Amino acid sequence: MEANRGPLISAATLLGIGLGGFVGGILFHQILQLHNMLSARLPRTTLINAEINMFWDGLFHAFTWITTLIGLILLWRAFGRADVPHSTKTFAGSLILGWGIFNLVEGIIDHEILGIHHVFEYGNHLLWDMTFLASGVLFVSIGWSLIRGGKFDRATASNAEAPRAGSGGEGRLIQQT
Amino acid sequence: MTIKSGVFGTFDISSLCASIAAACPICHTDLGQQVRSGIFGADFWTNLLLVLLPFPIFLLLAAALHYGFRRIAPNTKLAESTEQKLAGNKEG
Repeated sequence: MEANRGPLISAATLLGIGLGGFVGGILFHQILQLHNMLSARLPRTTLINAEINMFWDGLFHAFTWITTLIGLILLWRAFGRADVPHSTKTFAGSLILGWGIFNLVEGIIDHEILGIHHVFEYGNHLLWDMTFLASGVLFVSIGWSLIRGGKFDRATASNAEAPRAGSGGEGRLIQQT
Repeated sequence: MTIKSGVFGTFDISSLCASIAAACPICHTDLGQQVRSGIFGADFWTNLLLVLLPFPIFLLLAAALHYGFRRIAPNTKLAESTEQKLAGNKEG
């Protein structure tokens, strides 16, 4: 049977995107309070603007949560398939890739194109924005190299084609490590 | 569930909801009214689009990764060893 890493990579990437989004939201929005979702359009100089930003932060976190949930469901489905290898390198690489994708997409769209907020809102934001983008490039590079390193891990899961009793034909009889 | 516990349960939930509604910062106070009008103002849909724009891109990238990876044919030696172990398990 051909090994198909696509389902594992997409699931773990979505998980990485979600977890990366939570890091950004929790660290930058809430703990450090460097910016909020619309803080370039509605500066947090008044309580009203702070509460409006809080609403949009919440919506962003809700969709980040949905992204994480989709990743979790896809991961569960991927692990039930006999053609998907259980590769730790591929999984970890995809998580890091997802985090990098989040930083890159969010950095390019929200910070640079739309300009709805910047990493550090109240100073020279260009340096902070570029550092954030650079972290995205770094994470994508690390994640991608790990995914490439796990290319031949397909046999470690040793998904057997023979069905387990009552499993509907998707069971694994041997689990090599 | 008895009728009595149902009545008390409904009362408890109603009390909880009422207290949450009373604490709602965007519902009653002047500040709350201003916040609500700020959120659901003329630029609500624009802001919604701006905030949610990255998410379809995330899903598109995930779909590309899902379907874009080349399938790899199994390694013959490893496949053989797996078959041997399978056969051993069946015999045992």
